[in-house]
Amino acid sequence: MQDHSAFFDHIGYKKHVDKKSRVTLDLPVKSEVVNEDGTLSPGLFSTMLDIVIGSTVNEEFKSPASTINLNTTYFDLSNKGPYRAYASITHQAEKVITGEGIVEDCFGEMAAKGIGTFKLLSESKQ
Amino acid sequence: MKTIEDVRESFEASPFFSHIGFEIMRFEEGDVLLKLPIHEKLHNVNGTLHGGVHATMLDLVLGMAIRSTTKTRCTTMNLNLNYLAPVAGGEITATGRILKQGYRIVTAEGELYDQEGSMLAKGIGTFKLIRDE
Repeated sequence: MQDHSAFFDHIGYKKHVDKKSRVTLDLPVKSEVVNEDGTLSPGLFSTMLDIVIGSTVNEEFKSPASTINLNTTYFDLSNKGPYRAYASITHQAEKVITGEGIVEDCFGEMAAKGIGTFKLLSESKQ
Repeated sequence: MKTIEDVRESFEASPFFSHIGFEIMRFEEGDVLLKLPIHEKLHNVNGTLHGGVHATMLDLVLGMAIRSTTKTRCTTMNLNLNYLAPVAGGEITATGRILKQGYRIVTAEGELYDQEGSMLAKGIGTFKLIRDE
C-alpha cells in the first residue's frame, strides 16, 4: 500500500506509525492553509481525521479502505498549531469499519473530534 | 452590514481557498455555485479525489450559502458527509442551501456533483453565526 497521497503532501501532513501500528498525524500549519482572518478551515481537521482514522483502519486490517461517512465536530478553529491527531477502531461489521479520532492543538486541547465509517477494499479494486 | 460583494471577496482572499484551487461560479443571496478543477495534487492513494477535499468543499459552499444570506460571519460546529462515488478528474461543482436559521445557529445542506451531473457526496452542517453584539 502507498504510504500517503499527493493531497497529503500538498497540505503538509506528517504521519508516524509506531511499532505497535498506532498511527499519529501531525499538521505543522503553513501560511497557505490559513484563512484570511487567521482561522483554520474546518476542512483541514476533517482531512486530518479522514487520514488518521483511514490509516488506522489500514494498519489494523492490512487492507486499503474507502470512506463512506465522516462526521466531524469542531471545537476551536483559531490557529493553535501544530496539531496532532490519533484514532482508534470502534466497531467492525464484516467489511464495514467504524473508527473515531481526535485532533489536539499544541496545548493538548481537543480542537476537533470525528467518527468515520470505512469500507475495506479488495486489492483488485484499487 | 457587509455587502454580498464584500462577503464574496473575503472568501476569495483566503490563501487556503486558492491553495486548493476553488473558483466561485455564482454568488447570489442563498444561491451559490462553487467549482473545483481536479488536479493530481488533490488525489488520495487510490488516484481519486481525497475525501478531505470533499469535506473542505462542502464546508465552504455551506458557509458561503449562509454568509450570502445573513452577511454575518459564521463558524462551523459540525459537518456530516456521506461519500457516494469516487471521482478522478475533470471539474466538480458544489451547491448548498439553508435548511433552518435561528438567531445564532444555522443548519445547511449541500451536494457535490461531477461534470456529468452525478452526485458524488451529500452532507449537512451546523454553523454558529458570529454576531458583534
